[in-house]
Amino acid sequence: MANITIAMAKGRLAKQAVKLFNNSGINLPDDMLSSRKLIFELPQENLEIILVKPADVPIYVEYGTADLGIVGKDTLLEENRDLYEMLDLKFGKCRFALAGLPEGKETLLQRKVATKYPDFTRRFFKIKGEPVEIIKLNGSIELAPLTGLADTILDIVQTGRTLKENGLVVYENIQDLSARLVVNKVSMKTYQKQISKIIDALEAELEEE
Amino acid sequence: MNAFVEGVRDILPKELRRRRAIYKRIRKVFQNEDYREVITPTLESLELYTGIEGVIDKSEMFKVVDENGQILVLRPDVTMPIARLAATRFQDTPRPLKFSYLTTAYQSKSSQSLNLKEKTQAGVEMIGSDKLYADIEMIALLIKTMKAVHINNPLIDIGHADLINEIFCEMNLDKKDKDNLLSLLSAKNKVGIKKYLKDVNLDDQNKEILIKLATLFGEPDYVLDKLKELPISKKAYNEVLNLEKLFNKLKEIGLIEHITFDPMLISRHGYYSGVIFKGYAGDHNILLANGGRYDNLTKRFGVGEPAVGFALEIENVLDYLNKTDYEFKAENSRVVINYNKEENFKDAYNMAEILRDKNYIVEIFEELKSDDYVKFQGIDFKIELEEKELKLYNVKTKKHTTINKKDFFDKIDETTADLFEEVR
Repeated sequence: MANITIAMAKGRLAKQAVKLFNNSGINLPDDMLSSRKLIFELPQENLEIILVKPADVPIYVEYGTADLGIVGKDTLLEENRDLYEMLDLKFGKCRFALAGLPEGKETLLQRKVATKYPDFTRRFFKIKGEPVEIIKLNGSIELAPLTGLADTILDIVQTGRTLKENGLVVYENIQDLSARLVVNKVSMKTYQKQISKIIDALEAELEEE
Repeated sequence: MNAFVEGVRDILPKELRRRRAIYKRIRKVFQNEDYREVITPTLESLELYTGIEGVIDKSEMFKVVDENGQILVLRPDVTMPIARLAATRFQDTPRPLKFSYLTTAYQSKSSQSLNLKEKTQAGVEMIGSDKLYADIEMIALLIKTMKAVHINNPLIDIGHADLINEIFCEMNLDKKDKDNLLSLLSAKNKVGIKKYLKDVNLDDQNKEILIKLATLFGEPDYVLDKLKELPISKKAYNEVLNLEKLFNKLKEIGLIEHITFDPMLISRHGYYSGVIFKGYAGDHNILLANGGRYDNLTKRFGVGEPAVGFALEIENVLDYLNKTDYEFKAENSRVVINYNKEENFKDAYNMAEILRDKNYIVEIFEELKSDDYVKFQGIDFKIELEEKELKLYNVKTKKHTTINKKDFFDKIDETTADLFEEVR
C-alpha cells in the first residue's frame, strides 16, 4: 500500500490538527510539535506528515508532493489552486475583513490597500469594481494605516483585539474562514480507498463535536 | 544578453533518445488501429479558438500578428485543428475519420503541475461515429497507449459532460447558481455546497441530491447503484443507463480494473459533450491524459458530426518514468576506435564502417588521451588500434582482449560478435 502524505501548516493549525487526528483514532507522533524535524513517517498508519509554511500547503498538494493538506481558507483563497476542498475542520476560525482608521480619510487618488493577501485583494476589488492600489506586506498589517502607508487593510480578524488596541475599526466583513482539508485531485482518484478512510474518520469526529 | 525564456526548454540528446523511444511505441499503437498521423500548422487563426465557451481562455494563448494585421495563435491544442481539417478538407470522405498526431501545443498557463508553455501531445480523434463502440475503442486505446509507454497501472476516470446538466434541468436554478454549484461540485466541496444551498430556493430532495453528488465517485458498480437510487430526472437516469452499458462493455473486454467513475468529473475544455475521461498513473498521482466526446465542436465549421478523442501529455509521461526509475535500454552498443599514428587512419576508418554495418554506433578518435570523453558519451567499448594488432576494452568492466589486425579484417563476419562477447 502506498504511503499517503499529509502537508500541515506549521504553528497553530498543526496543533489543532494533531488533536483532531488523535481523537479520530489516527495517532500522530507525540514529538511532532516539539521536534524540529520536518518529515514524520508513520509506517503503521501508512502515513507521512510534512510540516510546511501555511502558504505552501496548497502548492505541495496541487503538485501532488502531498496528497492531503490542512490549511486555512485564507491561504486557499489567496493561492487559488486547483484542489478538492473536502472538509471544514471547524478550527482556526476567523474572517477576512477590511479595516482602517475610524474617520476613514478621503483620498484624491485611488484607495491604497495593504495586505498579506494581494491576489485575493485584487480579485475582491475587481468584483467590487473599485480600482485600488495594493501594497503587499508580510506582517503587522495594522501598522499600514497608522503610518500612512495605506488607507485600508485587508486582513484576517479573529477577535478584533489587535485592531482595537491599534485604534482601527472594521469597515466590512468579507468572509468567514476556518481550517480546511484539501486533497490532490489525482490522489483522490488513485488512492481513493485510503484517503476516504481518513476523511470518513475525521468527518465522524467533527460531527460528534 | 539574457536569452532565457521561461516555460520553454531545450531537449538534450539523452532526453530526446527517451522521447524517440516513447514516440515509436505510441505511433505503433496508433498505427495498429489505423489512426493516420497528420501534422497541422503551428499557427492557427484566433477565431478558430474563440466563440466556443470554455475552450481555452483567450489570455492563455500566444498571439502573433501577421503582416495583414490578422491575429494568429500558436495552436493551444490539436483537437480544434483536426476538427477544422475534418470539416473542410475531408468533408466528402466516408466516415469515420481516424486521425492521430504527435506534436507540440502552446499555452501561456498550464493548470497541471509541470509549468511548461510548450507541451508535447500525442493523441487520436475519431470523427463521424456516435456509437458506443467508438467510446469504448477510445478508452481501450488510451489504456493500450499508456501501457505501451510503461505506465504500470493505468487508471481511467470516466465522467459525463451532460449528466449534471440533465440533473440541473429539473431544478429550476438560475445560471449564476448553476455555475457556482458546478464549480463547487467539481471541487468536491461538500461544505461549500451545503453552505451555498442554504440561500438557494430548492426543495430538500433536490438539495440532498446535490450534496450526495459531491462525494459520489469511485468503483463504477458502486457509483451506478448509488446514482440509480437518487430521485434524478428521467433524462439524467437514461444517461446513467448509457454509462452503465459502457461500463459493462469495458467489463466484458477485461478493462474494468482500470476504470473509476466520477459523475461530477468536469473537464477544463468546454467543448466536451458526452463521455469524458482522464488518464492517470495509478501508482503515482500524475495526470497523463484527457479525452472525451465533442459532438458539438464541428458544428461551427458548418457540418455538425459526432467525434471522440484523447490527448496524452508526453512531458507528464516522462515525469512519471523519472519517478518510477524506468530504465531506457540503449538499443545498440557504442564503440570508439582510437588510433595514435596517422598511418593507422585508413584501418580505423574501414573498421568503423564494417562495425556500423553491423549496427554498432562507432566514433573514430585520434589520440584519445583521457577517458573523460568516453564517459561523457556513454561508450561501451574502446578499440585501441596499433600497427599490427588491436586491443578491445570493455569500458565498464575493464575486461580486454588483443587480436591480430589482419585476422580481424580476414574473418570479420564470423568473429566480430564473438570478439565483443569475450569482453562483455
